[in-house]
Amino acid sequence: MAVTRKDITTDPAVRDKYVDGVLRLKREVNAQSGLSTYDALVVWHVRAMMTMTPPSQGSRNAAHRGPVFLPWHRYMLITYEQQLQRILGDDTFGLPYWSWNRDGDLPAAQQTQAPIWAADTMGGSGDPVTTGPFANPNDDPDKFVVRVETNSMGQLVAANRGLARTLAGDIATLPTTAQTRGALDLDTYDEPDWGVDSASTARNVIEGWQPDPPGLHNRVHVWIGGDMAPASSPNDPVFFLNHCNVDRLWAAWQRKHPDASYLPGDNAPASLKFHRFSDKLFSVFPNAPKVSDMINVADIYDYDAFADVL
Amino acid sequence: MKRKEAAAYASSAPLLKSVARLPKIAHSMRGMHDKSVRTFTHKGYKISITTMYEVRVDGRLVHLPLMVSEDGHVQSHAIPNYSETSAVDIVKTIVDQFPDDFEKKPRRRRRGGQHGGHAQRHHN
Repeated sequence: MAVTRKDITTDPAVRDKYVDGVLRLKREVNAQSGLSTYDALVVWHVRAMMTMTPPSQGSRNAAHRGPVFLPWHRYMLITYEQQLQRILGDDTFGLPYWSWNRDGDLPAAQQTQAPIWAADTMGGSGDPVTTGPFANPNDDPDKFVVRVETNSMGQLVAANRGLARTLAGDIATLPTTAQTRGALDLDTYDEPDWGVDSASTARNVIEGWQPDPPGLHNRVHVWIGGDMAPASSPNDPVFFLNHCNVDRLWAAWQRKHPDASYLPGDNAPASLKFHRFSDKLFSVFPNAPKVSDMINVADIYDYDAFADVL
Repeated sequence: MKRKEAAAYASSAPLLKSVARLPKIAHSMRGMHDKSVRTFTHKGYKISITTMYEVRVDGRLVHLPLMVSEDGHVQSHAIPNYSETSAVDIVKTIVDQFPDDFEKKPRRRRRGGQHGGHAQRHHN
């Protein structure tokens, strides 16, 4: 039976399970490297980010800045949700989302005080973060430790420090519900040149490259800052709450435009490998589903609400 | 995709085994990836503009993955969600986000803090 994904700020039981699951995945460590199951998701994201598609250019990669942005992250979230279910011993657990668009409707000064940043949820701002379940101001190895990150060249490097956030430090406000609804009004999924320049496609506007970057998904990363800024952004457990809301927006868009197709199709050139409808998704594992496998996932999960965005 | 198919993919995804060692990123940020090529047609002419950035910090050449979009925004895979209206601003942001990469005497790695608000100037 499909699980239901809920808003983390409205369901304390789901919230507490999510925090517990994250900490357990962080404690599940490979003895050889000291990296955890959770850290493996960070590494996977970075490797996708640095895999250029096609290799002859430096913009579109195997998970971002192109059509596959939404399906690839849907695949990542499903994988993550399964890991949480396994480690929690609860196959009814649904990954929660954070409806950042609702917080974006608050006055700027209230956005950093929204419930998600409370000590019983994700904790607040700081370098390192000093409140909440992932705080580790004294570099206690038994608490939440960032073990891997990316440098200014996008390369993976080892780390050993607490989580960092600079809420509203680099940009003052989150995306609003009106901006979010505007993206869902667009009836074309994607279009040539399949990159960051189109202002009229749902994928590009949801990803946040148009119309006034950084928007929507990108803006949430920039607004949180700290570990949400580099390619290793899954280091912050909020990464997955952001992307779960992004995935909810795609699901809402699919409901609103039931006749709209994923694009590009299979007749697109080889230079769009990893982005075409029947292409395998980029993975570091031997087997990976196809883009087309991510279009209908109703057997795996559903969302509890779309009313705020539809 | 069905739930049981997703479970099959998960069982063949050995996450913990995949990080037995820290993978090196094979992708080089040098060469082709330093270039952005914008192509368009204007009054019947096929035009391409190739943009390359050479960035030096205290005289030292640094290889930053920079790119420019059709509308002139400058972006970087180092901070993949940011978009600035100039190369100056994106490089300032990178320097602020990765202070250890630019220090003359490297110390223990730390995360960069907020960077003086130049993103705010453009986007608020």
